[in-house]
Amino acid sequence: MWKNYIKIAWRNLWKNPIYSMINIGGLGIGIACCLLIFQYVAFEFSFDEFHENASDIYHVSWSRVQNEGEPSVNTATGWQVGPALAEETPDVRRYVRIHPEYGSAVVSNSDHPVKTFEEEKVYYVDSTFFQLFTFPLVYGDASRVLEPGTLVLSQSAAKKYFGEEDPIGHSLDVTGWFGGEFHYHGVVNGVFKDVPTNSQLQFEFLVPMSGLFQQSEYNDPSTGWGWNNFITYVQLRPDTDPVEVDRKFTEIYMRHRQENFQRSNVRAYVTTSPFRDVYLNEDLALYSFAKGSSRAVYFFIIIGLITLLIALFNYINLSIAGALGRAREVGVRKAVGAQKFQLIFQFISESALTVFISTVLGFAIAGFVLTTVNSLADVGLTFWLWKSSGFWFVFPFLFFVIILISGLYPALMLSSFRSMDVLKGNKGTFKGGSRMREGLIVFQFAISIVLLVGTIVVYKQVNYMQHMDLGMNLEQVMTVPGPKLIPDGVDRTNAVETFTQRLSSLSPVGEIATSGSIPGKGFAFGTNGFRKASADQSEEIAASGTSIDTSFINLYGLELVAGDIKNRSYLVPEGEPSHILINETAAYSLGFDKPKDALGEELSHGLVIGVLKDFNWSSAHHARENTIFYLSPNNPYISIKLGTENLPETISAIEALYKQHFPGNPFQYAFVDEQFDQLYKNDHRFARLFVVFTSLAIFIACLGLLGLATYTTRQRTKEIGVRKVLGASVSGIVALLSKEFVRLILLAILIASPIAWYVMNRWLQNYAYQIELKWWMFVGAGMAAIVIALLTVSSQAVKAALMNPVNSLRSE
Amino acid sequence: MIKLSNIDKYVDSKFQRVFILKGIDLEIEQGEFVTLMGPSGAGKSTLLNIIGLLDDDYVGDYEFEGEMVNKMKEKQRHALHKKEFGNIFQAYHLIDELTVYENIETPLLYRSVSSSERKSIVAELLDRFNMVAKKDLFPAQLSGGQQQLVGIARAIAGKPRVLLADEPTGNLHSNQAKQIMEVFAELNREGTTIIQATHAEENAAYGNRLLEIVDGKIEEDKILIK
Ligand SMILES: Nc1ncnc2c1ncn2[C@@H]1O[C@H](COP(=O)(O)OP(=O)(O)OP(=O)(O)O)[C@@H](O)[C@H]1O
Ligand SMILES: [Mg+2]
Repeated sequence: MWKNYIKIAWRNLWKNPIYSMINIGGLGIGIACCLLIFQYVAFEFSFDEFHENASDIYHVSWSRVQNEGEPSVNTATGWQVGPALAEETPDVRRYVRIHPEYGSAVVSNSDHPVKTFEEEKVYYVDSTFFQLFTFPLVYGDASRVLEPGTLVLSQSAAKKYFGEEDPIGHSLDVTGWFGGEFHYHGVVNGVFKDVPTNSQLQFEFLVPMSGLFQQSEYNDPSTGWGWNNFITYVQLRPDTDPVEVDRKFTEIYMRHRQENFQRSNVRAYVTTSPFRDVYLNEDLALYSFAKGSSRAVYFFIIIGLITLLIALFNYINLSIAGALGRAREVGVRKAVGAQKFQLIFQFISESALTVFISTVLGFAIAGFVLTTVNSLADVGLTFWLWKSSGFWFVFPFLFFVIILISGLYPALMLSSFRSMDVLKGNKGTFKGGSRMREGLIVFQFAISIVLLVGTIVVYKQVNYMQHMDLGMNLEQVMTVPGPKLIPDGVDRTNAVETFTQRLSSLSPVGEIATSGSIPGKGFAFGTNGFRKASADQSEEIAASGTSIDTSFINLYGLELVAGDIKNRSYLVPEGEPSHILINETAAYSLGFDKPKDALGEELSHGLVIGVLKDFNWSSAHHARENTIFYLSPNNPYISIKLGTENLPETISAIEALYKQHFPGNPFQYAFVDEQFDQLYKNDHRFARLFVVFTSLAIFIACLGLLGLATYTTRQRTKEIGVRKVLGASVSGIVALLSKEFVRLILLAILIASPIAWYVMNRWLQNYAYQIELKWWMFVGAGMAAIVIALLTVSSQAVKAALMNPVNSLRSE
Repeated sequence: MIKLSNIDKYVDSKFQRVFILKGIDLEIEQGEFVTLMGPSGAGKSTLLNIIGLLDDDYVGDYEFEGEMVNKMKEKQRHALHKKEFGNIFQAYHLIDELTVYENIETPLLYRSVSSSERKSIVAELLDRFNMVAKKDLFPAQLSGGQQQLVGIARAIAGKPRVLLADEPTGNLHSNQAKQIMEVFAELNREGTTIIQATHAEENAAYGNRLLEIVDGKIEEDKILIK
């Protein structure tokens, strides 16, 4: 019996090779999509699972609530929080604080200064780091590394700085910048395996926290709660109740900050989040940590399922169409003694065969396009899914669900044919299932149209953000980090000053400015204590800012609505407030009726000497913030406005000058507009993936349409022949055959439009600056769907219409 | 063997009830070779379908070997059909994707016949109809007469006691038709009850009883003496 089924199934596949190819190919593509997406999703969910203590590690964040308003979340804490929690509750087994290198550090091989590079992946960590987290050491003793005066680095960093030499016992110099120059000399006593990609902690160098604490500001315990530079992790005892822990932590936190908070009418609460979940949690953004997005993950899960569903519907649709041609076989089988369940079983096992081939094909396609997907999505997927046991648990289940979904309806439909009806007369055909088929086509196209509208909206939005007027001019601005290695006895400010003077004499160089941060790189500091100097502390608000020099405003084309900065001196007499500029938003937030009114006012952070027209320091994802610029001559970043001509020569001239003035410092430059565009990297990626999946969905839907069109035209060959004999024109026949499909697509547009409108509206809410949804986006998507569908259908229709009617009539 | 009493079949249209069969009383004994004749649309096929258990939508009583078919459950009826009846069609209705051999084998598969027994039954039938050389061909590679021979071989593979044939020679030339009829006569001699519907007078001559059906009624019931 089995052999008979398989034989029939196999011969049926070969009888209509094109039809079978469409059928299997469509499903194969759907399965490939699903596999890739699930691979990606599994990768995103695998973050930080490799730590032995993964289930006991928690990230500590705290939220500040002022005047019982909206809480503001802080993912970083002060340096005293970790020790206080560990000391004052028994629940904490150990804690680790991580202080990332905010910005970049210069690292050099102490013995071979040629090996000097700018490094961003530098963490200052507590000595418990390797006990809490699981990062295997290649060299070194886990209990000895991170002792004062030592340093550990990754295998690839070791290669970069020491080549094939054994790095143990050699030393590195790390020069960072935290509001001032910071220098550390450490002897390498450990090398760890390169950090896996599915780790949110991404680092090349670990410097013991004791090194950082040499800085004088850490002698003052009061800085230990207010300066939120440290990311704190705790390892809790396995049976701890997380709710109870949050309550205890909050109590401890409040106890230590009581005085401070009472003045400003602030309360705070502490939240511990499982370490494994932090990566996908959009609300917990951490500086210099890998960040995923649960929203994106869920989006792709949905897209994957939709693609699979479209492919399945396709398959069902084509099976139904194909089934009609087999009505006679069913009739015969019944007449010779088959029972209904035997027929159902036969058709289900046939669909199992097809699904099996499709699955194999799907795996092949997925493996084949993996590299393309990796470059498109900017991910490093490898196929490990089938090595995990969970996969083999879920996959057979999925396989059977697919077989059931795709095989059951055609099987039930077929097995219910009465042999008496289908064996009548000479022909043995039967019509049926057309409602279902039309329904499936409408569904497929409705989804395709939603995706098409989505594509248009996503592209418009990304384009809009990228070309949005920022209120700043980033064109032709090059930045180089200022020098970090300054010889003893040299004043950094003066050295930079001399450099910029020499630089400005180069002809294509325009303005030169220095600042604490640059557009697209975020602000240099944030504060919760911004207010009028005269106002009560309970009126404090949040603000962010950076230091700038006096040329900065001009270079970036920022517009002053009040005040000026010409001839301002950086030095203010002892006891007088420093000079600051604020933006319009800040002026309004502080309660000034007009931004101008803020001029000359004294604020918590200094005297307002200028008010700037609003601008966008960060991407369009974020609304404008209250912004403070304070004047300082000594800043880490140097911005240089360049002309457009002779760019390579200019850059090498700047490099030569840089090397001459700041010997030993690596020269690294970037263009601000390009860096700013990096903020939209994820959006671009999203848009690209959206296009890929939309095209796939439409492609599969069109395959289905093509299969169906082939089938219906074949069924109507006789009708077409008769019509032609009676004098119908080719175009008339094409119109006749296409009309039905157009009707279905129109219905799909009707269903898809409100869904697309709702979904895309929701999506746009993620952006502070959004485009408006316009009617033409829907009409455009609908038209595109109709055109694509017509092209697909009419190819078949034209073929049928051009056929010699004598042939078609004779063959009947 | 078969006893129909007062069988009606009708369809209800909007305005009236249209009878396709009306008051059919018919008894057929084992070993008979019955021919149904009559004008097109008279109800021959309908009657054959009812006798062959393919149609259960009628009123009246149908007894098969003393058992009331019209009172049977679907499952019993199916079992009875499988055990006792074989069908032969005007359009042969072979399964295009199966070879001659596999087509003949199919009913045996649904009867759970062991593989070795299947082989011998099919080989015997192929031999009987001189089709051994053609066993691996597909239906499309055979002539109409050959296809109908395969159809007959398939119908008798399950050793049914009753063979139903609806215009078995309708698509064939007279020579081929003759051959088929001779096969029927031989089967009948071996004891198989045969009921056929046909338009061709000469086919009736092979049987021993002729029923004239007109407008859903049996107009005439003659015994033919050879
Ligand atoms: N499902 C049905 N609904 C309505 N009328 C039907 C149906 N099936 C058959 N008929 C009618 O029943 C009558 C008898 O049909 P049947 O097929 O039995 O005729 P027949 O004697 O076999 O004719 P032919 O010699 O042309 O094969 C016809 O008038 C036909 O129109
Ligand atoms: Mg008939």
